[in-house]
Amino acid sequence: MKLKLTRLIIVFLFFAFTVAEVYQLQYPAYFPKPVYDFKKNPLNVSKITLGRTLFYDPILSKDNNISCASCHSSFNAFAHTDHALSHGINDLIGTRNAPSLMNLAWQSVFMWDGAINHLDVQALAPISHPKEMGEKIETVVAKLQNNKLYPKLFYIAFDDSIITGERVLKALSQFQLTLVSANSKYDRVKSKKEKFTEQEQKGYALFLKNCNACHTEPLFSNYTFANNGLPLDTGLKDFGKWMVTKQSADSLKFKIPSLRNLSYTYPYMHDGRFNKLNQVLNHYTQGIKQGPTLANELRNSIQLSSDEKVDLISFLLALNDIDFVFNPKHGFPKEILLQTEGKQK
Amino acid sequence: MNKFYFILITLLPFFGFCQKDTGSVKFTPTFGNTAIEPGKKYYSSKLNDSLNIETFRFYVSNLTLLKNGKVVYTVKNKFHLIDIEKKLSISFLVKKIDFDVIKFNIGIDSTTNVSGAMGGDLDPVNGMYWAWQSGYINFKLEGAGKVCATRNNIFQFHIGGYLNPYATLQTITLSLKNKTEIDIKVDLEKFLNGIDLKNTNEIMSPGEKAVTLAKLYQTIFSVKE
Repeated sequence: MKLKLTRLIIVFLFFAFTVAEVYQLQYPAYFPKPVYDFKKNPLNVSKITLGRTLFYDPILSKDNNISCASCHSSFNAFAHTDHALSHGINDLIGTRNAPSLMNLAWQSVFMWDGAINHLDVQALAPISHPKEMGEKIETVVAKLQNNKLYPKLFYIAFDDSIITGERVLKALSQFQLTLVSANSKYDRVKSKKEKFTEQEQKGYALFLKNCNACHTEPLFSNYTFANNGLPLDTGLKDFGKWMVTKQSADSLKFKIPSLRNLSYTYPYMHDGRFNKLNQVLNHYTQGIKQGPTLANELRNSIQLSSDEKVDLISFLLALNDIDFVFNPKHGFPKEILLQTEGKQK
Repeated sequence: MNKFYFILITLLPFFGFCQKDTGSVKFTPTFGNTAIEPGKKYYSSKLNDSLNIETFRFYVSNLTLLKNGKVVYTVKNKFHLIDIEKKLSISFLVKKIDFDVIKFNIGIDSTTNVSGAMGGDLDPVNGMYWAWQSGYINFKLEGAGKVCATRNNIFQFHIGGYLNPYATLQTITLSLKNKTEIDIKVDLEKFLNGIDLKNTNEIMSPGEKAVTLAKLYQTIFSVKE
């Protein structure tokens, strides 16, 4: 009898432990269903912790200097302010603006040109790019396996201290999937906890009329690709999606970014050419370059008076999500990474 | 109760022995009729040049055995990375069956290509995954020959691409005698002779040229009798 009871307790503890480990992604009811297939990579607290540690650890780069967070910092809504173009190992400068990482569970194609077809394999691009982290995934796996910290963390997360490429990538996905921005003033208005000011309300109406077709609420992007009429930067010669598909219909098309957290994610556009929101609005009202692949929505230029621009910007600022930007769960995992400070192998 | 388990355990290997048998498919990369050893030089009279092969890897998927056009056996593991330096055989358990055709794909299907990170033979650490533009490399051949006016005279073919019109997945169907140890020759001389190596020596992204080369290597597999 006693033995039976002990067994029962063990089984109970096992289940209690397992249940506590499961992480439920929180998002508002008015968000669509995520597109990420969680069945193939179920969220779990220890995998998220592992992914967060990897995200902040420069061990992923060739010279151990650049981490994912170098260009995607939490206090910039996981974008990179002050750098129009990405900044990698040996101070090398890339060709595109590091985008903000948020609401990734609702996106199926990644990068400005759509070269990446799944969140799990996205990290391979910056890790291997010679101007970003410049490292091979097989070397990353070997470095992690020989590190004091990681076999333990992988054991906790995967019940196995053997490190594989698949596990590294899935853990990175897990952390990034938890980066949900859904508590801006817009969201609080949507859930009837707050009200827009008169100016924000006017701006919202202008937004719905002029912007929502591509920057569709509530995610503020439909995550398709479009040519938004930016004149080609003749130095960068970046033709966007065309460079991946080689189809002329895709020339100058870039992924439509979300408009959430704009105060933290400047500069704007795929090449970071605009520093301020009014420059962006001026582009849409006066700067559109006509061309065969230009988005239909922009063929007739958008008309906005200067008062209307101010109203529109006040609405756009209501998409800032301070809780997202300052969420301590998104930040540097000092309790894990600083343990090994100074003695990291 | 215990007795029952005892009998079952005793009989288990016997059941296995009766019903299952092992089979294997072995791939032999050759230069004409000579089996290739990495790093060694092989002379092509057509190119009038000696070539060496440094790296040769490809994916075999959906391996099935057929009899009279009907599938009689499907190998359980769907994907196998064949690597001249590491692994040339695929072993499987097969009941004694009668078959006259072996069918398999060279490469990874489009659904798997868009399904995120995977492990084992599909782990990106195997060097068969494109980092900057998602997708598996279906067939990778690297080597050198003086005919290539490249740095160190190298040629590099990383053939892949899963989207139309540049999809490269190839199906191989070969007739053979019914035996459980299947030996398949992969003639790289035929492949390299089919290429204008002087002008085409570095194909490393999806596109028209990759499709042409995939159609070419579709023809280099044959059953060694």
